[in-house]
Amino acid sequence: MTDMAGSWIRAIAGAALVCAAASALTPRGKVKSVQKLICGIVLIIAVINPLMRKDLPGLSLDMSEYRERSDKIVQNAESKENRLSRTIIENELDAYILDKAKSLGSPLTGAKVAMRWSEDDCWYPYEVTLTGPLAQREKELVSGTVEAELGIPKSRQHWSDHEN
Amino acid sequence: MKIKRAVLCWLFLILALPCAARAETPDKSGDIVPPKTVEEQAADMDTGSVREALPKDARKILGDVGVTDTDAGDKGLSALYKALKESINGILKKALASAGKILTVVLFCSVATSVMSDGGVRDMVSVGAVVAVSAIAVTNAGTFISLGMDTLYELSDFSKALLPVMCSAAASAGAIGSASVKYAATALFMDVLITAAVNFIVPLISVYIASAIAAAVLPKDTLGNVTKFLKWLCTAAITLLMLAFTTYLEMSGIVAGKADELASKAAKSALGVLPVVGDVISNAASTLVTGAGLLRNAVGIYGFLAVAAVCLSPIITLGIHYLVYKGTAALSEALTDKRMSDLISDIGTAFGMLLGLVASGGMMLFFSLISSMKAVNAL
Repeated sequence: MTDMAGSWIRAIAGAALVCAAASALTPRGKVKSVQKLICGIVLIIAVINPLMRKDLPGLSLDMSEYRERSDKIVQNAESKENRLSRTIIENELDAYILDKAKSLGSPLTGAKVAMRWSEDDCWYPYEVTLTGPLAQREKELVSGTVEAELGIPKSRQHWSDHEN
Repeated sequence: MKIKRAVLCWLFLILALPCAARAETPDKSGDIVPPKTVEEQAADMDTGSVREALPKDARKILGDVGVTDTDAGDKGLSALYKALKESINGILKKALASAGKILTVVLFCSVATSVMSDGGVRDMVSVGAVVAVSAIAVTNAGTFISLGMDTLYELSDFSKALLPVMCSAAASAGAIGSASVKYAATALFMDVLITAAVNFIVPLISVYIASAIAAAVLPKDTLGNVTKFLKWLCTAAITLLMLAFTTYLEMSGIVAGKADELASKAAKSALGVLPVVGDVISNAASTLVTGAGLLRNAVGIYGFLAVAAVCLSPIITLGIHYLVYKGTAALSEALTDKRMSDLISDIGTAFGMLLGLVASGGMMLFFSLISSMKAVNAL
C-alpha cells in the first residue's frame, strides 16, 4: 500500500518537475500554449493512472452476514449462561432441601436435584435423588415438602440409603 | 476545526474513563463485591483472549493491568500517562529535527534567491528548494502512512477479539438484542473503514501530498483547486463514515434496547408467579446478570484503555508533526514566498488527515464500547 502511495507521489511530483522545467525553458508565444496543454494532460494522467489500474475492493456490505456472526456469539453466550444458571439453581435447591430436612428433624445426608428446560424458557426441577437413613414417616414428611415447595412429584423422587 | 473536535472528544473520553471505572455498586466499605460466579463467567466469555489479542507495544504500555481488575481504570490511565510522558520528548525532537531541516533549506533558498534577479535561474533554485523540502516531507509522509495503516490494522485485529467478548458480556447482562446489533454494526463499519482507508482515503492523501508538491513546483496555481478538492474529499469521506456509524449505532441501539427492556419485564413477570423455585431461579438469574454486568463494564474499560494504548503513539506522532509542520509553514512564510509555506502547510494538513483517519478507527471502537456499556441490564 505505502509502496504504491510512494510511487504515486513520485510519479506526480516527477511529472510536475518535468512540466515546470518545460515551462521555464519554453519561450512565450504559441509554443507556450501547446506546452501548457501537454503539461496539463501529463499531470492529469499522472494523477488518475494508478486509480484506473486499481481493482475495486470486494467488500460485502451485507449486514445479514455480520448479524449471523453476532447471533452465533449471543447464542453461545446464552447457552453458557444457561449451563451456569442450571448449576447454580441445582446447588441452591440441593442446599434448600437439606436445610428444610434439618428443620424437620430428618437425618437427610444428600439431595441431588436434576433440572430440565421448560417451554417458558427457564429451568425447572424435574427429579430429585434423596439420600439418608430416614424412617418411612420422615421420608414421607420430606417428600411431601419437596413436592409442595419445589413442585417435584413423588413419582420423580428417588430414595437411596447411601450416597454414590 | 475538525482536529479541535477530535481532540475534545478524546479529552472527554479520557476524563469519562475513571468515572466509568467506578460505576459498579460498592459495599459499605466502598469496595466492589463481585458475585462468586464472576470468575466462571469470565472464563466462559474468554475475557483473557482480549489481553492476548493486544498488540505488543500496547501490552507493554498497559503492563500488568488485567481485564477483570477492579482498579483497571486508574492503573491503566497511570500507565497511559507514563507512556505519554516517556514518548512525547522523542517524538517532539524528531518533529523539530524535520522542521529544522526544512527551515534550513528555506533559509538557504531565501538567501540565494534574494541576490538573484527574476528569471529562469531564480525559478530553478526555487524548484530545487521545493524538491529538497518535498524529499524531507515525503520521507516523513511515507513513514506516517505506514504508521496510520498499521494502527488501523492493529485496531481491526484487536476489535476481532474485543467485540465478541463485549457482545457475550452485554448479551449475558440482558442486552441480547442490542449487543447483537452493536457487534454487527461495529464489525461492519470497522471493515468498511479499513477497506475505505486502504483503497480510497490513504491513496487520496498520497495524491493530496503529490498535488501539493506539484502545485509548489509549477509556476502558476495550476493544481491549487485539485489540492483543495482532494482535502475536502478526504475529510468528507471520514466524516461521512463516522456519521453513518454513529447514527446507525444510536438508531439500532434505541430499537433493540426497547426490545431488551420488554423482554426483561416479561422474564420478571414469568418468574413472579413461581413459588420457592421462582425465588431460587430469580436469585440465580440476578447473580449471573450482576456478574455479566460487572464483566461487561470491566471488558469495556479494558477495551477503552487498550484502544487508547494502541492509538497513543500514532496519534501523538501525527499530532505533533501536524502542529510542527503548521508552525514551520507559518515561520517560512516570513522567509520565502507563499508557495513554499503552502507546501509545508499542505503536508501538515496531510498528517492531520492521517490523524483523523487513525482517530476515527479508535473513536469507532470507543463509541461502540460506550454504547454497549450503557445498554439495558436485565435486573
